[in-house]
Amino acid sequence: MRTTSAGDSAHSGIVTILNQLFALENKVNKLVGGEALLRNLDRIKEQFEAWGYSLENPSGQPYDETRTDCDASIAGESTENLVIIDVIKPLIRYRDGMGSIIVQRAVVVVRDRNSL
Amino acid sequence: MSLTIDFGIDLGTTNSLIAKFVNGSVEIFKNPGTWKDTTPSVVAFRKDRILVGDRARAFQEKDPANVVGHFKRKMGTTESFPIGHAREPKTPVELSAHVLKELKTFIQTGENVDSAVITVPASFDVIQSNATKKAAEEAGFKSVVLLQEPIAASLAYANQASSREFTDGKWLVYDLGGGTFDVALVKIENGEMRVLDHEGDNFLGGTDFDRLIIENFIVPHISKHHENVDMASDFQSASGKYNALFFALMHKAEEAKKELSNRTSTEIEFEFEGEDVVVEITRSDFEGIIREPIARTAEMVRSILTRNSLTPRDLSFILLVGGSTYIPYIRSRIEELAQIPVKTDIDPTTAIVSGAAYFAGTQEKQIIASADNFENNSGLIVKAVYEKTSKDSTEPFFARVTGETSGLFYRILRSDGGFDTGLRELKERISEDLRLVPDSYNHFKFTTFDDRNNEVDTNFREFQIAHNIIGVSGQPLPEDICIELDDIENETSHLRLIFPRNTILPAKSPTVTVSATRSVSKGSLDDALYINVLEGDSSYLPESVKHIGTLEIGSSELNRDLLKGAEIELMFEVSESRDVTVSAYIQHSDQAFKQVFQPKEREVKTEWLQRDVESLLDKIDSHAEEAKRRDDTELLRELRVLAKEVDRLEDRALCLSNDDVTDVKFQLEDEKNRLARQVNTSIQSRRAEILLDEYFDIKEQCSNLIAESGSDRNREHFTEIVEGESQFVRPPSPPLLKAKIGELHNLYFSVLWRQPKFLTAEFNWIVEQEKLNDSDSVQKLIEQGQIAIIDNDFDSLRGIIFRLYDMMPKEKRRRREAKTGIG
Repeated sequence: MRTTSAGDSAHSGIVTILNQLFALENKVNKLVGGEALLRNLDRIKEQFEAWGYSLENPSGQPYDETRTDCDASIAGESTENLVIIDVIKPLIRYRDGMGSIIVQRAVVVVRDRNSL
Repeated sequence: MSLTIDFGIDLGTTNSLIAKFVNGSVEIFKNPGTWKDTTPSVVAFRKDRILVGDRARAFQEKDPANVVGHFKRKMGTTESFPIGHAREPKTPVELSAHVLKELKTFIQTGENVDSAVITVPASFDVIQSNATKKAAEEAGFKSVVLLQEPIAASLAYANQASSREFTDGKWLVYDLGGGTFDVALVKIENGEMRVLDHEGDNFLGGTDFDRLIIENFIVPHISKHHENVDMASDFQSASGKYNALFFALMHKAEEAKKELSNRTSTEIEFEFEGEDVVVEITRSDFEGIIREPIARTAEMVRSILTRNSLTPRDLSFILLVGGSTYIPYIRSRIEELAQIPVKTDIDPTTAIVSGAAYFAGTQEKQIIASADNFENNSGLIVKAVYEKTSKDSTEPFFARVTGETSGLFYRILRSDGGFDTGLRELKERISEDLRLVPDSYNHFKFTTFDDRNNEVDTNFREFQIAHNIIGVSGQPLPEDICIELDDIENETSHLRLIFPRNTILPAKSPTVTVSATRSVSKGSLDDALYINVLEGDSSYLPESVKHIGTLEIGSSELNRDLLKGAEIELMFEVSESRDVTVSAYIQHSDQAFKQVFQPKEREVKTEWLQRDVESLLDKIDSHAEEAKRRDDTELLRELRVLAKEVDRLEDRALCLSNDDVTDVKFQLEDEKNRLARQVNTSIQSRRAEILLDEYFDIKEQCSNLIAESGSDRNREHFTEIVEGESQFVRPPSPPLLKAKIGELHNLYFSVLWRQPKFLTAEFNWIVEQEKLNDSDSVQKLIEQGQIAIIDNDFDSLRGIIFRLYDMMPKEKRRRREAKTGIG
């Protein structure tokens, strides 16, 4: 398996920055008039992409037990028709040629779509 | 073990490279001896060892008789290279096999490389492609996929550029390597890449620039300061006084050429008859001598655009690849001449091998793909079905499992760890929805377990799905593939198109039905039907195209006589690696014949070349005479221009020594074929005019005859034939005109054969010929005929004439030649 943990020394520093960036982005999204700041955050993300790191926010995506790119906590009673409702940590990939490795699994909360 | 080929090889004229596709990226294996990506395609034969690459090149100067390079340019020819230390001369295939074997040693991971994608120029024909496969076979490869170099280069570029930049569009790949030039028009649409058209010269490349340096600077320098020398006889001829020095100078000229890409002048130093010689060359001197060949490449760029009705604005860019494109003059000149921006951001030396490796990463190994041949301890066979490329975020996967599945489990894991089916019960049929990482190669592992979680052996362990990655939609045929059919009417033969140029391979033709043009008796000696398969423009004469192979159906193989007119069904297939398979089925005898052609050699002999050039001149002369007679000044002018070019070609051909060691004779052979095609084009356009005259003549005769004595039915038939005349008269369509002329002839004679006057005249003519056979039955028929004339019984007279005609001795009937036996 080509997954590395956030503690992997080669990526750890960058993973920390990307987590902060993600948190910052979430805060800016809630700010009134924060659009102007988002543009700068996007530029920073593009630079990380050029270095091979991409940040993925899986919010709203379907979830089932085959998804091992997310560590999920299941909210509610049902375990069917699950959808990601909250992202605590984003999914971070490092692109290696045309393939990629996961350097951080997303930490998410999922819930039955029908109970929303 | 990977299920995909993964290894890509650029078997180049000057340098060769090997690379591997590993988890989405390409790793180029360095030569462990030199730590360089490239290895010269040079082989040296020392007393007891064979050297390949830089070490071989090192001996080129000191021991040229035992060192060979640039043999790719002679792939597919019967040429071989005499080696001082070897008893037998070495063929280009053997030499290429040595290079391939050497490349295999660069892989020090302990892997056994038995499959590879090997690149070939787009202009390589069937023979040259097969020669490349043969070399791979000799080097121990069990399965080889050939990939055209422009596609490889484009794939390398596409994989490097971000997907945002690389959208649908068209571009050109300008590949000027050591020995070959190719320009290809490449298109990408819906993520699939294909070559739309290409043009090239298999004998134009950096090596020619090296030769031009010797010819233009070194030979004149020696002649001026030392002794008068001749390039052809003293340097290029194997028996030439300075043949050894020639090879050493080629090496030095190449070095000088490279230096001129970074410096404005350089020097070539060598020893001549014990004296040190220094020749200075400036960049502008060098640019002066390559101006003409570069203009020729620009001309090919223009011609590919014209042929495809494109303007420079329709193209996104020209991608420059091949070592020769490092030359600054080429970069600027091509941009200037083509008016299209050039892209030089991929490494021109490694682009092709990278593309080959990317492609190899998507190609399944043939040996493993065949599940039936697989043996394993469990006896479990998994036949999986899935799309290898996808644009969706999930892709369905199905598999059918044969063998004992009870108590077993399977698990599919994506190699980045982001997808895992978990352990699931193995059933006869399984299906999964696989989640894909966007814009990426998704590599999956399929593992089977028993109830104690021990792995169980199956034939299927890994697979890959590329998400939103550019695929290759197959490679196009470089030239038309045709068969030769008899044209009994004109006592000649013509070509029938089976696969047009640029057909995407693999290709299968619909069934083509032909008729036997003569009878072949079962078991008769030396009689056969010949299905000649040829490669080249189908509108030309069979003599001016290349022969691929002949399926011969010998009389001894027939289980009953094959009668003239019997139908033969032919089917053709061309594989991705351009093997041509011909199958013939004779309905009459219920027999099937099949042959696969993998022709590997083309022979060009200096004396044949000289003879062909002479005969081409004769042909031009006779057509010129004819044009003069018909007062066709335009054709006469065209033929005179062509005659001058052929004259020049003849001069160059006559200068060649019989043992010329360079590629000049192949260049002249290609030039001869080009001129022969031009002659054909000029003459054929006139052929259409002649057919037009013939059509209007017979139309008039027919119309007059029908007006005079035709029935209403004849009139209707006549109107049907000439209906829609505008479609085949302007512009004239020779095949349709020919068909219409035939139909009008048939109608004309069917009316004529009912005319008492004509029948009487025909009968009288046969009676005069009758002396040839005065048997009793002939005499009786003549008497009956004469009575029929008296009784005005012309229906009976017509029957009598036919019977008399049948009784005429064969030699008196018009004999029509059948060359192939099919038409």
